[in-house]
Amino acid sequence: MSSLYMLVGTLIALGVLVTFHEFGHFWVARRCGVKVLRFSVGFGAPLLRWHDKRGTEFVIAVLPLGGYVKMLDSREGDVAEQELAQSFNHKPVGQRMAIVAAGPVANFLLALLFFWIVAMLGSEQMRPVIGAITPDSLAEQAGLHVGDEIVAIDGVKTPSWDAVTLQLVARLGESGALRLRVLPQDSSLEQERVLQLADWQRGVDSPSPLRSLGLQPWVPELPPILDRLEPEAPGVLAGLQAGDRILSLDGIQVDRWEALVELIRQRPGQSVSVEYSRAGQTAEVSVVLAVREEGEQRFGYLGAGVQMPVIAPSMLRQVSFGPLEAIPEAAAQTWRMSVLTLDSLRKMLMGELSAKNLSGPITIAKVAGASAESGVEDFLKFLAYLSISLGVLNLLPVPVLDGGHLVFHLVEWIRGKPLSERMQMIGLQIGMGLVFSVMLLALYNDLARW
Amino acid sequence: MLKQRIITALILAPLALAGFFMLYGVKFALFITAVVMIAAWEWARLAGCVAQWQRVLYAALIGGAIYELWWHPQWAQQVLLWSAAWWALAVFLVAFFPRMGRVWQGRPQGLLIGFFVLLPAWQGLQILKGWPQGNALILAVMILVWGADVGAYFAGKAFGKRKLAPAVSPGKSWEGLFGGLALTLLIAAGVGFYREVDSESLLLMLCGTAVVVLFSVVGDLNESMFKRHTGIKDSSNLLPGHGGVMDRIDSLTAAIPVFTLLLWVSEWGPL
Repeated sequence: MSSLYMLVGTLIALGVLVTFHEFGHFWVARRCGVKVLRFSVGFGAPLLRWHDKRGTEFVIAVLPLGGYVKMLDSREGDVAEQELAQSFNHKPVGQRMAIVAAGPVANFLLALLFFWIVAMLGSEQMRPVIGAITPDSLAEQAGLHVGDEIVAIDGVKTPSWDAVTLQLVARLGESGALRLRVLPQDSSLEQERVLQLADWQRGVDSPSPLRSLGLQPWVPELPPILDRLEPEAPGVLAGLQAGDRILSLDGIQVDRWEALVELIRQRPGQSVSVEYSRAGQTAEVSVVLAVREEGEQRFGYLGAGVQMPVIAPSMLRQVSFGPLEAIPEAAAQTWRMSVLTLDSLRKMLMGELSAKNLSGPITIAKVAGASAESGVEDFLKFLAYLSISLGVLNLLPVPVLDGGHLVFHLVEWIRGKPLSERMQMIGLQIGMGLVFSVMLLALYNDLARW
Repeated sequence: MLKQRIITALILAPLALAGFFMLYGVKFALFITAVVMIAAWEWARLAGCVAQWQRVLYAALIGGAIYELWWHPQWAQQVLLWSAAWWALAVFLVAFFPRMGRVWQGRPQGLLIGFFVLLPAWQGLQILKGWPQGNALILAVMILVWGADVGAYFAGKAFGKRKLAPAVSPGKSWEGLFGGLALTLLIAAGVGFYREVDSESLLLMLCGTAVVVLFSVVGDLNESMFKRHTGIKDSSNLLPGHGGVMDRIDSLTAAIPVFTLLLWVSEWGPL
């Protein structure tokens, strides 16, 4: 089932985003009176094709990772005398820039639309209340306490843990003051706490912002009752079942799920004795824990999830907006995500963030599947993120990409005449090399993660 | 011409068979290194190096890289994963050809691509040889590639109508591709029944076969693309009547790494 979601999710995601991007180019090109020869979603051999009255061929092609709009251009082929005025390269430079920019702009507009819908749908989210603080951590030094609700970070409101994480991710690899506004438990007075960052998580492969600050989200009391046991994992093999309540591990009493997890993690590969109760009966089994490697460290692993309890309504908050309120919210979200994307790219280039964070089509497919499976809202958010990445990436000043063409046109606009063919060619070669290298790296990361 | 083809085949086939299947350890490694280095010498020509010394230097470079790989078997996994990433990308290069060809087909790019084409093939063979039933695995990947060729030849001849990649290799048709797939799937199914594997493994085997065959076609088209760009027909004339070594192993350069990775994923052997 999940692979079906993955397939359909990816096809919809890429289909919608690519079509919209190309449609941006197409629409403005038509406005400017450029003749569009072909509008293709996908590359390679055509699967479906039809023509419209103005002579544009619409194509859906086999390879779904992208698409293109082919415009009449006298540099690329012979153009009849009477059609010269309709060719791309005979348009004023301002119009050409508008046509090129329209693709990425369409992606931002699409993201805006999706965020707008999501903001109106609203969602029930857990208040970002601190559940635990690691001793001697940055969080403790800054005077944060268990029970504090994080209201804002760096002046931006954080109504949910998602928002908190988003704000924190933006500061990865940086130094300086991180300002948190918190609402202490049983108080109605907000207070400010300052955390001093120094090269925070710089160069770490998979940074975990919350954990590294020493913060853990508040989660409802979790009794150690098993659920969702993985097939062929140590738990199932030892005969444990969903619904079993764990009483002790190696003689150590456990009454919370987190405590059980901690005990298990400390015992990679060890044989442990587990006492549990099932339907009122107490029993004991011995389990050989599996080994999980996380970087250099090794952790024990049981292969079971926890049964989710019902959360008290006071810890939840309904976050939703009306059609008008949702517009600034969506705009802010689009802006934040764009900045974040650009910032992550800059950090990867500067080596502040490991290049292993770069993902390619396979990871996108996996996330597409997971988000499609978890509901319309998550899928819309994912589409919006992806659309923004597409827009931002395409605006990078790399020849071959839209941004590179914009730079060429900008130079032409300033100089009053275009760059020489040779210069453009060299630029294209370098750009193509860059794009290929990045794609290769992204694909490699995908495969290695698999 | 046909006579020459047959004579070459008669001399070469036993040599190749002996090299691939009767040598072990260092001798096997040296044998496949020799084959890959000859292919590298030809590749340099395809990438646009005309001067003999440049081509020899390139072959030596590839030889040096192989020497490093030999001493660092722990790199094997990365090498094969990079290769899979490259071949996935190559699908687009082939699909795009020749629209963007001018832009990325410079000499340095071609020589760099040679590393992605040649080294993983060596690495894959080396890994396969060391796994249980190594010789059978090498034979299997060869049968897949040749089966795909044979199937494509006959199906293309009988039904070939729609061109697969007219700009790259005008002789190939979609019908040929399907014919090649059909024959290899039949062979794989036959092997599956003979070895009495359960139906789930059989299904995975068939999927794997299709993937390997599709990539072998990409490997073939990739070489054709470079030939077309440089404007030469055979990679060399080392094998009279057959062209060069690269012409014989082009499909294998893609099929071997992919085949090895798939076997690794299905836990046939370690990497």
